[in-house]
Amino acid sequence: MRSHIKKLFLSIIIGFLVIMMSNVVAYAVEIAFWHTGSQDEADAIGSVAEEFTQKTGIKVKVQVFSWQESRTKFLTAIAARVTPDIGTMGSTWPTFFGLKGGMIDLTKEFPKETKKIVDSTFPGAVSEYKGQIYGLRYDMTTLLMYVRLDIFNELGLSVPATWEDLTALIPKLKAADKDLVIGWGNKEWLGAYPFIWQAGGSPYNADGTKSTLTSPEALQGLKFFTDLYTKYGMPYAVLDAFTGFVTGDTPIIIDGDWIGPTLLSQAPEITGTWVVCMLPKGPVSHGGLIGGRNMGIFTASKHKKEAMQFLAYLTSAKAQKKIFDTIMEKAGGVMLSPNIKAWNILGLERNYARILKAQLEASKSPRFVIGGDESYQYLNDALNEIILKGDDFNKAVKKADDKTNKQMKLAREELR
Amino acid sequence: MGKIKVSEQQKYKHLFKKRPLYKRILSSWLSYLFIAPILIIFIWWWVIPFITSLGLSFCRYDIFNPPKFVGLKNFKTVFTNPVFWVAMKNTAIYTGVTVSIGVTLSLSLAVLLDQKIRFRNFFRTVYFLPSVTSAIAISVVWRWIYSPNKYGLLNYFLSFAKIKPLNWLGELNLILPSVMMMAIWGGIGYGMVIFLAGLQGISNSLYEAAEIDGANAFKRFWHITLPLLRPTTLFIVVWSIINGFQVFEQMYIMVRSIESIGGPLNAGLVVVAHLYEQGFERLRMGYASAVAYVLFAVIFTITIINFTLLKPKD
Repeated sequence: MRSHIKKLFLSIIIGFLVIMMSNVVAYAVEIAFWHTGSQDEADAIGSVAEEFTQKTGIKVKVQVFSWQESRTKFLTAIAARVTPDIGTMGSTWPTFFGLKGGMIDLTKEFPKETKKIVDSTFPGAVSEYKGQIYGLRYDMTTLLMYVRLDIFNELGLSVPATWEDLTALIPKLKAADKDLVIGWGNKEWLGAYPFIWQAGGSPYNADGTKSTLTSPEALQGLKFFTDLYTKYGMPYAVLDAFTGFVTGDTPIIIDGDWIGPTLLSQAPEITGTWVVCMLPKGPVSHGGLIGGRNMGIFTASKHKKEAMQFLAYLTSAKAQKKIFDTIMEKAGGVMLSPNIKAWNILGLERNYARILKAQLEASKSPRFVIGGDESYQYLNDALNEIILKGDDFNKAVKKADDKTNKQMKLAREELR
Repeated sequence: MGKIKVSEQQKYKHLFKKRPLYKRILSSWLSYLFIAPILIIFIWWWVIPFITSLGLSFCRYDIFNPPKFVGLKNFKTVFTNPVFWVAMKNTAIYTGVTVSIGVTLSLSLAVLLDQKIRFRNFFRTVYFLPSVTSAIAISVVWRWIYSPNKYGLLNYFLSFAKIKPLNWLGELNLILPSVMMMAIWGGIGYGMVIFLAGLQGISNSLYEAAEIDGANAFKRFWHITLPLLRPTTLFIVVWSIINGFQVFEQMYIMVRSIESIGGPLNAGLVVVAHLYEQGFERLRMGYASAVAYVLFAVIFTITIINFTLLKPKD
């Protein structure tokens, strides 16, 4: 009897050890993935990671951080050299972290894999800095124009296609006690950049060493943007454009691409009454802004090769489709894939996808420039001075331009 | 007990001689053991960072590279930076208004709820509730109350009085008053409870004697309640001023816009938010440490002045 117990006890221990060893063997490598965003998105990445683990044996541990805490979290992790292997973050952060030595230049360490991913990415969403790429695009967001056709038809208005149409429309809307509002980027740089691009301007010069806010094109774009508020009375007190659009108080809004799917899921009563359009064309283009997150590999990672393997898998059309479906199902939202090929299988409504794609092709992502972080605030200050305080337009923009140049010079010196 | 003569002191000198420190510690080892945990935590989380931060205030440090000694440059930058002075001005206004109105309202409520009125305990609980609620939760709710256009709760009520919707957290001259209003609402409960405790310590016989002497309610309040509440008032004023100068969460949640921590044109920028932005977002740890020490000096000076002015008279 005693020998039986001994045997049983021994077999349990051996069995336990075998299971433990098999786990160790199967998941010899575990990569840590820090995601900036929501739990639903992290779960979607997790579901792709499970497939990846089954195929490669490499385990992926996904952790989520909110936008508010993630930058500080990454910074302190880099300083303490306790980083994850991969992180998703604001689109300009990887270059900043890379120049500080915290993230790797993917074009240098994994040229083939990086080129393959970049080739399948929307051109405007590739974040390159002097030939180096520290972050690959994880997702995209962009600005679109939404119009309540039912109200427009009732008021005898037509959808604006150009800047001139837009300024002609506002007084007619005002006469009917309605408004046009900018939801995402309201009186901020984020809303102003598209107008600079539409006028053919740019916030910085070609090599990112000087502000070009006072160039004639940038001034034209900024003037048009601020005039919408100061001359045409576009409201800057905006709770959320979505509510006004649903109630009909603001039957035309310029807002993020996520508004479309949100309207379908949260305001089904107005489905069929609204359309999505490209931003009105300026003197040069329909230029818009591409937001979203980039992801890259940290210098302190001990599993860079495996991390790159996962990045390649995650950016594939199949994985992007899975993430898209999971987020749509769980959160009722859309994660725009940066993979051009994935767009054919995402299952987006045809007309919506066509306009969205056209807008994305005409749009750009804000560039990383050394010392650029503060420049957003300087431009915001200028916009607020013009819109809220009624300050002189040229003086306010010149002040922002001077401050940006001074800051960029200082930041370059600090980096040396 | 009579005084010991000097000659006797010499005679028994050995009895007055202090024992060595280690012997005194060893003889009370159990007491030291009990205070050890909190002492270690205090040293680790307060004393060491306090000293490190002082050292950093004389350095340029971006957390990626080792600190580089720059002397008093950070302090010079603090005093010449117009943004710091905007933050200091906003903080001083915030503290001045919230402390003066807050303390007055707390005292008034405490005196009212010290009377024998119906549902006294219910009102005490209701007024104290905001004090036990997280500042972040309160700020989120108030953001909704302050929502612009006609969709905000406050604007909705104002519409009954035919007042046009206000952009509470967007207009330059409304941002600070809006947050102050919320802070006063959230802080009066705590002050009220402390004042109530102070009021319990005032003997009824004093009021009865004053009443017999013909003192009216105002005179009783002015000549008995207020002077005897002086230690309580000192505590609340000092505590509120320190909290006022260190305000952060409410401002961060209420006024932060996409790129600016202090809202449009820094209309809601306070010193701690400026410190946080410079240290943890712009990685100017040396400058941020210098700001922290300037703030510490300001709070310390005001506290000393308060103690001198409000110290209870013998």
